[in-house]
Amino acid sequence: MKNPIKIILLILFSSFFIFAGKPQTDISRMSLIPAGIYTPLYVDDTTDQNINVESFLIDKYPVTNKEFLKFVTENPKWRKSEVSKLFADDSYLIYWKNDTELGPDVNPGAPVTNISWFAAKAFANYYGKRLPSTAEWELAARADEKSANGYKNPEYVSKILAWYSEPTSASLPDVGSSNKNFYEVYDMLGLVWEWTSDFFNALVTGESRGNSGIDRNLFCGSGSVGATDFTNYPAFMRFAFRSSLKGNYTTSNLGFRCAKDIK
Amino acid sequence: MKKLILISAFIVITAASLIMILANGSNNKNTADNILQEKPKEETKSCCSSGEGEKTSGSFTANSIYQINSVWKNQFGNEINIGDLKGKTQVFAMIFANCTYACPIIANDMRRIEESLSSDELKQIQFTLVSIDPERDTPEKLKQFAKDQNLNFARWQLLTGDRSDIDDLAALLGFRYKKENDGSFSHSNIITILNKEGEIIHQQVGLNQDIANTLNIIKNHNKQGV
Repeated sequence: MKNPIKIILLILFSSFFIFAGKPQTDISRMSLIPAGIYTPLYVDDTTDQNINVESFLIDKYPVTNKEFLKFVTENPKWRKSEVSKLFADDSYLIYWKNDTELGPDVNPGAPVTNISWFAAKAFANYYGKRLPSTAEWELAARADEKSANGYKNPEYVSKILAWYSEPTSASLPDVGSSNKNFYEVYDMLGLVWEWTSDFFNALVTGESRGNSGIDRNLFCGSGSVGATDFTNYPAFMRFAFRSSLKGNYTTSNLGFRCAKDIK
Repeated sequence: MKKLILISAFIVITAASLIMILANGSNNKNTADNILQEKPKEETKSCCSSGEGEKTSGSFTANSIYQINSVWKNQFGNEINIGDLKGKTQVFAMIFANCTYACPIIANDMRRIEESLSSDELKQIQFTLVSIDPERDTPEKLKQFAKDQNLNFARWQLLTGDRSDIDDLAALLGFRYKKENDGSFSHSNIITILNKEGEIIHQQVGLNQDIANTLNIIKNHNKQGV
């Protein structure tokens, strides 16, 4: 039963590819992710916490320096000398030469980093898109090169872990240079970490090892939490990373890509 | 079998091509519309930013959270711009009305603060609750919540708004929340004190905390403001 569906999906995706040569609208650089179910890492074991994700479009590539430069040129309030510190901290676009020039050492085709959640959200809004939710992002990132769920493949998991354990290289390569997955989405893993629209739903306190639960005085909600998939270390790492983020926070290995509803 | 797949492939490609062409067309329009919508917003937002030093957006200070420029509805259904909160010290929290455990305690903690201040001090203070559950928290629902919690509308307001604006506020306050499948929310328990400019001057984290420190901060700020 599954094979014909796979074939049709493949054909659908290849038809996207055929039309990639047409004048570039945002959709030609986006991939369709079919509807799916995302199981959050930490769930209350007494209730069903699976998240139904409707099909959506996601950028094939992270947003590049060149693309973000165009955005700040057209939206002066997001230039690094203009932006409010509430929306982007001191290291916002710190490696750019100035407000409107990247400078000779910056690769225009590399993913833009040192970008805050507010800035990423403003960029997405400006182009009629939005940031992907964590569930959407994880669903798209779950695919390896050959299947929609790579986490069943130990090789894939160890490959991601190998990347997570490497320090970020000083200069980033062009987008599209790392992994291409089943959905023809590039660089979900292997280039930079990425913002999600609801990064703030990762709720942890200082003590989050094992099954300790979250402090009920600090966080209202489920009393006991347990992890759903202990083999999925990469997702744990992303969860921990997201739980440390703030909206104006920027760092050298954190970028973003956009998503869009299918209308 | 192979033939069948080939034929279906041909049909799918043709159909997909048509869909793509149509989608591209309507998508272009969408994007253009969105940019048109976004641009005036950008202009009004960036109109007043001054050059060097103390940057302001509109008439707000550089650290004022009111720069987010969002519109809400209060418990009476009246539109409230976030900037309207300027001018009073705000005792501020994010809640949802169907909350069975923490939110009534947060409201109670805020009421303890209210009860510990003199009527003179209270003239300069407003108590604001923002809903994180706009689907269910209509102005009427929030009004009922306020009545159940004995909140005095002379000093309290309860706001509901768009998800995107709620997310902006949450990100600014460091408030974390997550919708659960049963319709409830897991969320941080934070009471934030905003000064008259809308700058965060204090956050009390947790439920049933000692309010002495928070009270001192509010009182000191009130003295400076006069």
